[in-house]
Amino acid sequence: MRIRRLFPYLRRHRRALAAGVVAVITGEFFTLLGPWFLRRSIDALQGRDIPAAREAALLMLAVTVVGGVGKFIMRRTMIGASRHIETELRQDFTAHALVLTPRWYDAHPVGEVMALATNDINAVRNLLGGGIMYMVQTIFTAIVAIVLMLRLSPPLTLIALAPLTVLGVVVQRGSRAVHARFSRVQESFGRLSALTQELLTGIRPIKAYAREDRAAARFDGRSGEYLQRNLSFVRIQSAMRPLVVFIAGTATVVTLFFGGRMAVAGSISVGTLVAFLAYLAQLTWPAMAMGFTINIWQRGLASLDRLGKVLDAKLEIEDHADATPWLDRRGHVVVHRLSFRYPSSSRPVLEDLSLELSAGSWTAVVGETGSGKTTLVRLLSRQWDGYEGEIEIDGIDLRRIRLADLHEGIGYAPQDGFLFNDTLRENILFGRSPADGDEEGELERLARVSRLERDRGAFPQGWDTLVGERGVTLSGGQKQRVSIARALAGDPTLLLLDDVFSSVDTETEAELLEQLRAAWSGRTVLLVTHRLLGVRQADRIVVLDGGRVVESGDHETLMRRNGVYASLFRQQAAAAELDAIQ
Amino acid sequence: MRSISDELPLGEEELKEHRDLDWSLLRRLLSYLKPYRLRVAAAGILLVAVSALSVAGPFLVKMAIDRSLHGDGPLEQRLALLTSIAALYLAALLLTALFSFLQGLLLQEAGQRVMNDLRRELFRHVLAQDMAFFDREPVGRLMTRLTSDVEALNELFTSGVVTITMDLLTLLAIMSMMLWMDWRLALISFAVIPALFALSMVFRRRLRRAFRRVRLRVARINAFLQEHLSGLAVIQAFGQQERRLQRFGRLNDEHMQAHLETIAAFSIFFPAVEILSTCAVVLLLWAGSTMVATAAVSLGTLVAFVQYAQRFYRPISDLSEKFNILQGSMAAGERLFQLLDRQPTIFSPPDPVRIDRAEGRIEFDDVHFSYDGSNEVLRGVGFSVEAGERVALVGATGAGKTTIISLLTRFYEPTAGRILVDGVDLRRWDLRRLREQVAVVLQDPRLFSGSLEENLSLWREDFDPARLEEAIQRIGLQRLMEKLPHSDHSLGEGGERLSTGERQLVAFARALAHDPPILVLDEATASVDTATELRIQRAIEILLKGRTSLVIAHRLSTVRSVDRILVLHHGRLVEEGSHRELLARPDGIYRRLVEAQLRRNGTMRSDDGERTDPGKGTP
Repeated sequence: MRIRRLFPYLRRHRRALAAGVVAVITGEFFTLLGPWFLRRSIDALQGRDIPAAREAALLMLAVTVVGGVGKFIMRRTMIGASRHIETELRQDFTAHALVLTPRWYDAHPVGEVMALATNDINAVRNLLGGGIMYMVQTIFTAIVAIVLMLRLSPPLTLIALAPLTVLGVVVQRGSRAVHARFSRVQESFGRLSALTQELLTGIRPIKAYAREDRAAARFDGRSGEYLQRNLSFVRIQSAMRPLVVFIAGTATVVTLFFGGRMAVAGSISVGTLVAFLAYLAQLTWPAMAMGFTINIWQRGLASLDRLGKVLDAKLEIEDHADATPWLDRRGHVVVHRLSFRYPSSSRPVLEDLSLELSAGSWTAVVGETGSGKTTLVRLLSRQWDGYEGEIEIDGIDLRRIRLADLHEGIGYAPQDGFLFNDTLRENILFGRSPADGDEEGELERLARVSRLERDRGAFPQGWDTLVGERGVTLSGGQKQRVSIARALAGDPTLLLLDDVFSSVDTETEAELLEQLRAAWSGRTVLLVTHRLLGVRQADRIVVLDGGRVVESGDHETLMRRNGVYASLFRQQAAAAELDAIQ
Repeated sequence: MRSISDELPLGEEELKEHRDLDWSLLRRLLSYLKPYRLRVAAAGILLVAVSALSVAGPFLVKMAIDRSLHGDGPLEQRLALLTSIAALYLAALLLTALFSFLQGLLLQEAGQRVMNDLRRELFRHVLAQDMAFFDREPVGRLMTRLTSDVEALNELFTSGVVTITMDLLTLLAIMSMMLWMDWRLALISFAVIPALFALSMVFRRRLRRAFRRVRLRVARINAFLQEHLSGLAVIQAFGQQERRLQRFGRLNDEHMQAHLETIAAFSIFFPAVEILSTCAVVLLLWAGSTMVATAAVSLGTLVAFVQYAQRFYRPISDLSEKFNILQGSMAAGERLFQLLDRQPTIFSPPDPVRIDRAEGRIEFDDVHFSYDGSNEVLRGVGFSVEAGERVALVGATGAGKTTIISLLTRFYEPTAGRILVDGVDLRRWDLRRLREQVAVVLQDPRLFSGSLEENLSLWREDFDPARLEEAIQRIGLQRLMEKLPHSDHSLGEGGERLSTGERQLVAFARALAHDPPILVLDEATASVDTATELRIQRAIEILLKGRTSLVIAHRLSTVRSVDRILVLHHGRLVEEGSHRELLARPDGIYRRLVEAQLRRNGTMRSDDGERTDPGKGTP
């Protein structure tokens, strides 16, 4: 049973839900007593009994008030509980989404996960709130009203209810059709948006080639398609409501006709007829709701299944059953015959790569785009699993090291230097927990090492300046330096810096390297870079090509070898010499 | 049905709401209905008819009770009367269903068509804006204008204005009917109206605040998720999942609190309305009892009044919900019309000089330019390029090279000075004609989804296929075709199926197919593999042949091959001459530039400064 997934949540809110059910039953019962007293009042009037008529009227008010209180409690408890469950479900969903691996996201784009988080959680919420509440309400209203009507007149009850049963079926079928057409509208809307986005992003060539009219014609085409689908949608939508009102109305007509005859014949009183008409009015909504509710349930259950994609996804990267703590952190890394292929690609990125980083050493990794540098960093920081070969840190298999220890022991600066829409402080101290103490001191130290200190005056609120989405308010160089500072926070043993100097100028790079070398003394450093001049002093330079190590050694060794590195280095050095002349 | 659009993250400014009905805005919106006025008029008549019919039911019930059930005629006559009353009731129902179906259809259709018209107008209007506009307006914001704001206007019209009118008409019809049937009972029923209105007002105010809060918090949740899913690698590498989740928990809770507020409001409002309407019924029965006893009113009249009183409250409670929709839509409408009122500053003159194909002479005459009105990017640049001449523009970042190309295609207007093509001031050229004379190939060319051919012709159906074929052959794109899906040759969104180098080649082919007399090229600095690099070099050679060309050069091979080099420095033309001549100047800026650029060899990216000015890469 698909709804089983919701049981833990429902159990947690069982009191509110139970109270809600009780409130629904009492509420509906008292509300439905209203027409009962209306009948009594009318019949008393017919008999010219003023006090009895007035008494019945007051009783009618009294039961409506009690019914109202019941409905008030019903809404608060049931709809309230649905919001609580929605919130818990979203929290669980996010908790899963945050631990799923890049491999999983490779097959599920962010847009898809966002759609699950918004549309599907919403559909489940509708099931929990509206779906359950209306179901209970409909069932009880129907039972109570029918019992009361049967007591008044069984034959009239059967006659009056016949059209209402048709109503439920019509609403259910109809709203399914409406929804199907609405999906087609949404689909078309997506296409229109995609085209608009593309044309607006490509405004330059459009203007440069004076193709505004053609672009507009393309837009018109999609807009026209969207219009057609909307028209097909509104046609059926406009028919639904009048149809429902009509069917509900026929119940009144047959009641008036047959009930009227019975009243003329004297088998029922005028008050009974009026009460019947009032009950029919009360039953119209539940009969419609029955139709809606079925669809709400169907949609909600389908969404619940889709949420399973995230909620049931296997955690590919988690602590090994016999995970080892990384206690004696020295930073000796051995990579042996490492091969790796991304699931979306047919060609391996790393092939049979072997590498050793001795504890406390500094290794520079160079090579062309696509040679596997970033992948190596990703595997070493265990963002991706599923490689062949071995990676060992301080003699322990990478996959056996406790993840918490691994994250603490490794400082990582990604290529894109992703920053969060938060303050500089929060971004720099990202990996630290508040329990680590002396925040200010650490912040100052990191700012010094990353050369952010000198930019501080330019930040309007100092370290409390918000950096904007992905750090848009910062320059590329500033973003990279924040990312470096973030990697250095805490006390990492192994530093993985992926192309972190690409956006800083040469002077800053030299200063940074000098500061960093002091800061990282005793740590093992792996630095991916394109600029060879800065890394001459590295203990070792590894040149990657096509996922293999093609050259490796210190600067002198590689120069003597006169291979790829030497030729690249000479090219860059010549440029620097030209610079020195002027 | 909730649409997805109200779940999308919005900027704070999008969440501002209008305080009240804005009549000038409504009038303007109504002007879009003109082409559909017949339908709308028909819908209006139907609307009145439906409202009038809504009073029929209870009146027929009264007739049934007074004439048939309590009548004093012969039994057959009373039964016959009952049959005709039921028939009338059925007829009224049928008419109501038919009319409201037609009315809804006519109106919704008109609404959809108006939206389509508005979207098309808006899109054309946006395309006609000058580049300065696109520099300022993020694409995301324009998308919101074109999609959700237009939808909001439709909502304003179809569910807002129309339902409010409908509700008011129905209310009016019921009240008139009541007054006509018995004014004393009518006044008694009206006694609850002030309370009902007061309740609605309080509810509306509370709900408006709560809804605004809900929207804001939904936006926050979505923004958080989007951001964290994009930056997941960093979160996981730092082992911060738990802490980020806690933070999400706070936003999630706030979101729930906002919803609980609306639930609280609704849970009081709905029962309260029901109780108030029962109050009206009770008042009727209380006061009516003596009147019926004294035969001042008939029993049927009293029953009809009870039914009217019950129908009374629905429009009033609807009204308060509808006003909330209106407020959001008004704000959307205002933003839309503001955009429509913005006039482009650059357009064709009414009497342009007629030139079909230029020879390709370019002149800059003491041109000044500033993007923001205060910082001059060009400070009196003057030069001329002869037809067929090849000229390179060289200068450091921010020297003004890109600005010169943008001015040549009249993307911007100089703040002072003149630019002439073939001796004719750009302002006297037909804008379209002018742009047909110049092809611009930028560093990171924009491609579109769709076939290679479409990307070359840019959707012009009358484009000579032979010319397309020739351009593909000469640039050497045949091999590319094999890579693309066989069904439609689509390059994928933004040309994603192609590599950077291939995208450039496509842009070259596009320029070549258009065969303009003037070519402007911003040489790419991004790294490509050696084979592609060679193909690019060859393509550039083919492209420049026989045209006046302006090249923003980054390669030594390029500056060596041009006829003349113009060196820009801080918005001024400082040196001019051939590569050899300029290098010979011992303290020349060109010489220093060449050296500085050489120094940066090996780095393809650079500090992203203010404006995306290319020319800061490697030679």
